Amino acid sequence: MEPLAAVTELLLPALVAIPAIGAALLAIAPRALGSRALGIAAAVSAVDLVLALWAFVAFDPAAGEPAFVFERSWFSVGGIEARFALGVDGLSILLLPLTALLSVVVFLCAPSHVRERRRGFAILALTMETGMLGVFAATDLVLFYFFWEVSLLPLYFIIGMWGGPRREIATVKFVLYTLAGSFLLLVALLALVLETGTTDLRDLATRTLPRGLETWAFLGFAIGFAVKVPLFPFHTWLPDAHFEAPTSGSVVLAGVLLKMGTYGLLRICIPIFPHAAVQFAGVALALGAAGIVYGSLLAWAQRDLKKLVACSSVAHLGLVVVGLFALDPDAARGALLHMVNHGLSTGALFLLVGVLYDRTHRRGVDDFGGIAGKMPVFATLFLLASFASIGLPGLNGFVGEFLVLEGTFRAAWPFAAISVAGVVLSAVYLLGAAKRVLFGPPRPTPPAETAPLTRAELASLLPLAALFVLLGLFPKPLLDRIGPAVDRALARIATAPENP
Amino acid sequence: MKLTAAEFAAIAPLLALTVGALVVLVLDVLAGALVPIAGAAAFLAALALAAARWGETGATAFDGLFVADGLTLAAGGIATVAALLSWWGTRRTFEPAREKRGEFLALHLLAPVGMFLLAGARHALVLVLGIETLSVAFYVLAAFDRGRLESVEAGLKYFLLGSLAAAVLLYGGALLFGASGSFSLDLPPGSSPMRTAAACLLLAGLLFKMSAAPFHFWTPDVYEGAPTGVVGFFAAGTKAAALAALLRWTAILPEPQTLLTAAALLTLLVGNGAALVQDRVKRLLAYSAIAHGGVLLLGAAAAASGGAEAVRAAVFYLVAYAPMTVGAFALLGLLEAESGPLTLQSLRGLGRRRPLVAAGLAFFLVSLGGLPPTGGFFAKLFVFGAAVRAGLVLPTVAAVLLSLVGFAAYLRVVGAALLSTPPERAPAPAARPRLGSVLVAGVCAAAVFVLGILPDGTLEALAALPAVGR
Repeated sequence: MEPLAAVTELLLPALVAIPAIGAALLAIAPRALGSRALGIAAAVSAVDLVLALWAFVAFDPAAGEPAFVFERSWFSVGGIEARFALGVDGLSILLLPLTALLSVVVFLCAPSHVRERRRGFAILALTMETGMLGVFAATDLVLFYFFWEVSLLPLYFIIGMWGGPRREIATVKFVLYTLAGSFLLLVALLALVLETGTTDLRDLATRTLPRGLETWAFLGFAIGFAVKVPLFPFHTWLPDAHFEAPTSGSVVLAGVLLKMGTYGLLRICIPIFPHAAVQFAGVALALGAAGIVYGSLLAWAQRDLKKLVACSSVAHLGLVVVGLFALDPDAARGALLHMVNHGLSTGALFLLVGVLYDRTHRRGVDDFGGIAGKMPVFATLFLLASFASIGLPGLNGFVGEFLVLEGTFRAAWPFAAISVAGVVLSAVYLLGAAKRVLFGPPRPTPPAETAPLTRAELASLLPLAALFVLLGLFPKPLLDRIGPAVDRALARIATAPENP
Repeated sequence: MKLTAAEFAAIAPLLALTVGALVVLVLDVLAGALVPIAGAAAFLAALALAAARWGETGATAFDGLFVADGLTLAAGGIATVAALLSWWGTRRTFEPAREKRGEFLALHLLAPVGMFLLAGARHALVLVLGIETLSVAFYVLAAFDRGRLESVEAGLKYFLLGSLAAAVLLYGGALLFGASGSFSLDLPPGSSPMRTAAACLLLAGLLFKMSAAPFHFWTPDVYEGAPTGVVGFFAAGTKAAALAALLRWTAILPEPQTLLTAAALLTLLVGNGAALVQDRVKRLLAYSAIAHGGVLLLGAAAAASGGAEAVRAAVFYLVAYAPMTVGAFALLGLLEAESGPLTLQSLRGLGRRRPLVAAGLAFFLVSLGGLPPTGGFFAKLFVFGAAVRAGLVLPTVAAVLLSLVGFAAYLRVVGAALLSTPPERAPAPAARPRLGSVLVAGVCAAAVFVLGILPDGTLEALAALPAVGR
């Protein structure tokens, strides 16, 4: 084999395995190293980030998709021929660097609130990183499901071991909700794989299924993904989980884990079940739009900054679902882009709320005032992240939102009209909160509570802030890479033959 | 009667175990220090002899009363490994009095003989013989901790109910003979009410051994009272042998798929539902063992429509189930030896006192719950896949949802051990090293992990299994 071919073949296995290997090495590391576990984990994730960025730069849709293919037979039993198959195409090329970047951010910000059992935290978070990267890189349905489940429990432990006082209830709710969803998905997966005799995602997207199976399997997958997204009305676990989670847990939950749900909709539900996707598009659009409005109203009503950001996630993910099920090329591009943008901006907002909480152990909107005068850098970053989240032109959030709304307006304008309301509301609740916290009447506080940002905090926030501007001004490299794959996924809607 | 060489080879693993047990009993009197070595040698010899026959077509012994095919060897091998691990793991955590150690080991050697017999029985009386051999060993093992009232109660309860089950089984055999003039599995074609009754009685006897609902009532009491380290062997070994027998004897059942599916769903409901409300950890895991029997029954129901692949899935389940349950009970035995009976309350703060033990316990429970990267995940995936393939889609949906209930039960243990804040005054960890159970738990965890990442090697090895059913 050509040396270069070997490198490109091993890129994705290395990307997925490096965090797991790091976790295993940390588990057996001597006690002296264990105390520096977070730094080591950050370095491991940084290596992964380099690999992911390399994949992003080297990825060229014109050279054929999926790229960086790695395929080995995995196991075969009773009609399930699973392959250990990894590959990256336009649908996943943005999500791999996002995952790696937010993992680095998590380890950089973790020392401020993970004060004990750091080694355990590092092991769990690295395991989760492997799971998430695996979900995005898998081109085999069974492997996808394997990684999907691997990524679930680490967060349970992270929230449960380093979370807030009501964490036991929040974690059980989180796990049981998402497990119920993924068990539904499992049955649908088995029915699909046993009917078609293949587990390859590309191959599955060329099959024509019997009508009944297509409908039921679509529902199994779609509900499983909808719980993860979370799509209204399956969203009730999310605010609780965020509320009890440590900052780093919230960053990775909102930043990446929720995207696994929307990614699944785009990767599996639309191309593999095109007829059912059309049939249920109206329902998905309605639920997505309801999520936008309801999530925004919930966020507006929150007096707690963290819950506010958590509820805004419900709204943002609702917008992504609207973009996907408008079944319009522009809207789907926007949805995919918005998944990344929401990961960046919401990640930053959770970090910023965490900065306040670490200093004051409060996070109520009314607990603060006049922060801008005491912490100018913090205030700048907070405003920037808020603007990015609102979708101000020139920042990253605008591009995705605009494409979603434009495409949806063409495909189903009433839903675009409702969605616009959500965008307006996001300005109301975020700017309202920013106004009180940053510019309200100053409170007399001990100076330690308004200490300037530490280097670790800046290191985790500044890359995100830079990306807000960069991706807002130059979205083209991203759009070029995702375009063909999105078109191909949607093309199934028009070209799929009738069910037998 | 004369044994040919082939017949001798077919029963060689059983002979190794039996001879080992007798040697151990004699050595116990003469040279106690050699007892563990002799025991380990007998276990390993039996496993080697079973492995040597692996992949060959089933040889029969005693005029076809017993067959040593892939199913027998797999189930008996799993039982032997479980016995070996259980015996090794209980050294130091549950230590019988000095003069009883030989007996303790001999019973561990004799129980797998019964399991081999049960798994390979092609004759109703061999079935009874197998069940009695393994049961007598288990009655005594359950009551082995004679100083504790619960242990004696467990032994007695197991004995009384087990005798009843054996009687039912025996009566089934008698009716079978009455209906067809033969005790053998190879029945002449035809059906009669008496034959149906015979089949149902035989099924009931086997379901009792699998602790499947509605014959499960003894399980929680026995598992809770018996010495903790050996309970994993109770669960893994009997399930392996009884499932093999069940798979083999489904051929005589009327409507096997319907019957087994109904038993599976009832068992899953009872096991998972009752596990959710337990506060004592051993009892919770006893109900979990019942629930796992339900998944196995679903696999048996799938296999009843004649699928060799479903048999493979069910046997893979047994392979994966043995290390996770033996490992979990080894760790519980370790903890119990340190701090007394285990409840969700007493587990609180375990993650801080003994982080590695807590992590290991959580890993086994995750595997029991069926999430990757553990053998339990693939075990469930394969059995559910086989069930869907056999057309049992709605029962599979029900089984999956009931598994979720079971997972909630495991989460209560995991949450208590790792998530909850510790009580004010934590009991001090014991000073004595428990190398045996730690080693066993480590081996089990490694097995569970490997099965959870690379199941293919095991699957290929199991490709030699015969199809059963009609």
